[in-house]
Amino acid sequence: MAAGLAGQSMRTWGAAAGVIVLALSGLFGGLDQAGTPPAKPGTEIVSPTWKVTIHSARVIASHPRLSKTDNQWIGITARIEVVVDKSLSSSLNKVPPIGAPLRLTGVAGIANESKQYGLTFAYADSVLLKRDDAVIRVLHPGLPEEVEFFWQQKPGTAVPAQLTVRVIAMVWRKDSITNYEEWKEDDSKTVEVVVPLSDQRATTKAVTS
Amino acid sequence: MTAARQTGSRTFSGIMLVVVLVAGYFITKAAPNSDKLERSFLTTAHAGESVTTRQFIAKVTGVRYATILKEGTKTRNTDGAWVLVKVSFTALSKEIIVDYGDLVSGDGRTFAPTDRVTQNMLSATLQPGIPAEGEIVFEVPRSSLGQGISDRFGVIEHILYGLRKDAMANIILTEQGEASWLEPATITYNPEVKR
Repeated sequence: MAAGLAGQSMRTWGAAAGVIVLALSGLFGGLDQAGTPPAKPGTEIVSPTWKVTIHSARVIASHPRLSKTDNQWIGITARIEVVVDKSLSSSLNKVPPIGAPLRLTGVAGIANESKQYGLTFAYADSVLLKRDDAVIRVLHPGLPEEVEFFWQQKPGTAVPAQLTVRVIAMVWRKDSITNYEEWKEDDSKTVEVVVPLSDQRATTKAVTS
Repeated sequence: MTAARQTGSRTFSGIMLVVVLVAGYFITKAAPNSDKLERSFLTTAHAGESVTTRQFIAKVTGVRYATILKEGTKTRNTDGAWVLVKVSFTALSKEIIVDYGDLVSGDGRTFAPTDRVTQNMLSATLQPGIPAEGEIVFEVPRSSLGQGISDRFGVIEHILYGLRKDAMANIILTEQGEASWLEPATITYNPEVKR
């Protein structure tokens, strides 16, 4: 048998290696069909770091707890429960920041947009706690909260009928450059939620004296 | 060397190569990673005892619990519990800020200080030899009370790839099984740092 294996050509060895790699990738989802249909509002989305239920979305002209600006604001209300065992705050404890769970894509006029892997997205500018409208930067494990994520949008931008929100999933793994372990985005488990957008700009204009 | 011997030798080499690669994989898996090698040193004591670290002395002098917290005209409620830790810091040899202070519960959770109230103790500049005292406020689920809680304090250092905590004080506030507070209570909180 050894003689038979050693007598094979390089092409045969290469083909055999390719079949083995394909089979192994299939074990880890590599042959799964890409793309899942978007979820509806009210659906609880569970990932290793958080549970997210998106309720509603709106566009407002201003909010007394948000920074003064000419921009309008897109707000997405959601229930968030931190599943990981550390508070969502700064990077000190290797935990994603509070704005990490949700991402807006394909929305015109959003301020502070970034590009990653060909996809344009923006982190939330501010997060308000619905129970007292406090601006927060920290969410704690085991304490689910109703929050509203806000993004700034150029004033007068046309408001679409609905928004596509990406609920980000993360996986704990080693960074290949720094060799430190940390949470990294797992694109294969990101879930999109399509939520109707309510235009409330007319009723939320700032009062000017 | 005959052809059969050559074939056998090559096969043996190939097998040894695979064995070495597999062994190397398991060795790297078993060896401690960079986070474990660079983790902070903890010096542990109980509330009421002084803890001396490389840069400062810490002492917890009291713990309070509440369901409603008042700060000035602001009222903050919670579905969990407010934990107010009264602590004293004294810098040893140079001006520092003890800017790290997390609460660790016996159920394996780590809680950052709440940002729903003003927190001055973790941003106060400490002069060597001059104690500073104040409260640090945390918001935790009630299920974490009674599991044993401790508070960890340290100085954050900026390194090439992020932030690291220097040697830390680990102060045990309650042990597992100690009766957890149950009654609703309203507490007035003062963020002032006293020197």
